[in-house]
Amino acid sequence: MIELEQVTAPLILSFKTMGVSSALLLLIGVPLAFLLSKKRLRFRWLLDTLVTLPLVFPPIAVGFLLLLLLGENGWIGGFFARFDIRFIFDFYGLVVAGVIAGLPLMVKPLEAAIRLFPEEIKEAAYMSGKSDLQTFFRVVLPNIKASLFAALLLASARALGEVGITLMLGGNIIGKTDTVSLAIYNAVFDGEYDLAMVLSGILVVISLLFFVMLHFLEKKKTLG
Amino acid sequence: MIAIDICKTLYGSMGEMELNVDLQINEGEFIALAGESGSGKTTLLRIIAGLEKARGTLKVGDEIWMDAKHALPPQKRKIGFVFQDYALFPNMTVLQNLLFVQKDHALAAQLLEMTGLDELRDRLPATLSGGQKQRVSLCRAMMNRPGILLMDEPLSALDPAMRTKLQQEILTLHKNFGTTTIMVSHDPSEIYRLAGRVVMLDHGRIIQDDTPKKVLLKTSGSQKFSFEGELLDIVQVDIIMVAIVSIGQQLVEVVISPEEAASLHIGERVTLSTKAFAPILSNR
Repeated sequence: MIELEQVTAPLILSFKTMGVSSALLLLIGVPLAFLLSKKRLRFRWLLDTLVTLPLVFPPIAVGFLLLLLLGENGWIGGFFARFDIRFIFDFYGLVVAGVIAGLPLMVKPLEAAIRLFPEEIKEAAYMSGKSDLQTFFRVVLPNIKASLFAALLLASARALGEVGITLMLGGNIIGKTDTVSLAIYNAVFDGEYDLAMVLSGILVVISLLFFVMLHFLEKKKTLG
Repeated sequence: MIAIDICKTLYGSMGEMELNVDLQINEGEFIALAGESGSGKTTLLRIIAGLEKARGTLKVGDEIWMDAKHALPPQKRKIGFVFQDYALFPNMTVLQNLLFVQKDHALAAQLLEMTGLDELRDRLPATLSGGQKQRVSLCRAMMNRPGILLMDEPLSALDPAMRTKLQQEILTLHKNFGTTTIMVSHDPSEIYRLAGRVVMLDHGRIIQDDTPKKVLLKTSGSQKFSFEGELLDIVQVDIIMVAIVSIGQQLVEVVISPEEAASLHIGERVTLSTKAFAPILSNR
């Protein structure tokens, strides 16, 4: 018999992770896309490589590298540990996993959309006395809203389905860091096929929902 | 007084070209920049606006906008720029497009009133016609009370009737605000109507700089009519030949001799002229 909490606990955890990841993706991804859209940026290749890497690098390997980096003895982990923020086997680890996995899907399409924005309209904003940054936030970004949301949706979906990095950083602790995807894995491992089926079914429904929204946004993009 | 002395190497469709312009413009003047496409008109405009870099100097009044050491960014030049393709902000209404430049509600209202856009103030650019869009663009360019107004073929995308109407509005704005204006244009009647001075560019150099009358009127005083047009067709009617020529928006038939017909080719540019007669002008 499936207990309700077996279903709701991983779901709530996954949604919490996705929510925080999405907010961070928006906060980090938009400035990154803005920077990368500039052709003459110094060290652009380095930034581009770092952002794109998780797309081609095996997630488990990324997870392992992050484990070394974010551990209490790692460069970054050591720094955060002083403020009592820990990533390994903790909720923050799940968020980092979601953000790292989703970032390329957020940044790359957005970067392309910024580049395709008509130069003349940007110049009209400069002639109106507006700086590059003002132009970006008040003219470019509002006009590529559909692309922005499509990118965010795609990146969030990726964050929701993240397994490899999440496993390495979160440790798959039941009741603490077992997201829906990991909960399915655990259920199958324990022979609880019914539970695995229910959780998978929920993920399918959510994915379909995302797909429909993406389709809607794509349509809007071509219209506007 | 605007003193332009600039140099820039351009890489166009016809290979490398040196844009080399030395030009003085008085305050309040209305200048038309004419010349074949690729002669460097738009580039000159963009250099004045600060949208493109160049060598040389650019002085406006006592301010140095550009010299060997530095260039004033376009944001600080207080220039109004009207683009050929309007370049309105698609996410803002007509009024918001204007207020984006400067939160000057009184000026915005005045400009919208002058150009008859008052009723369209809350519409988005996508719902406007070409003529309306260019009016908004013109109003927007005037919103920071520019010292110089630059227009890059502002009316070339519009139909003749709309063009005439907008020319009138440009003239009204120029008279009201006294803004020094430089306009790129191909249209002789437009130049004649609006500008007090024509600067003709060819391959990056100024080849003519005078009043529109001197530059554009090729037949002054000789009691001779001369039109340029395109030869559309030559047809035989009984024993005579008739050439059909398109001049401006109008088609005319001209009787020609068989010898003339043999030397003409359909599709080529022709000059249609006649001498020694007194033309009659009447109302339509």
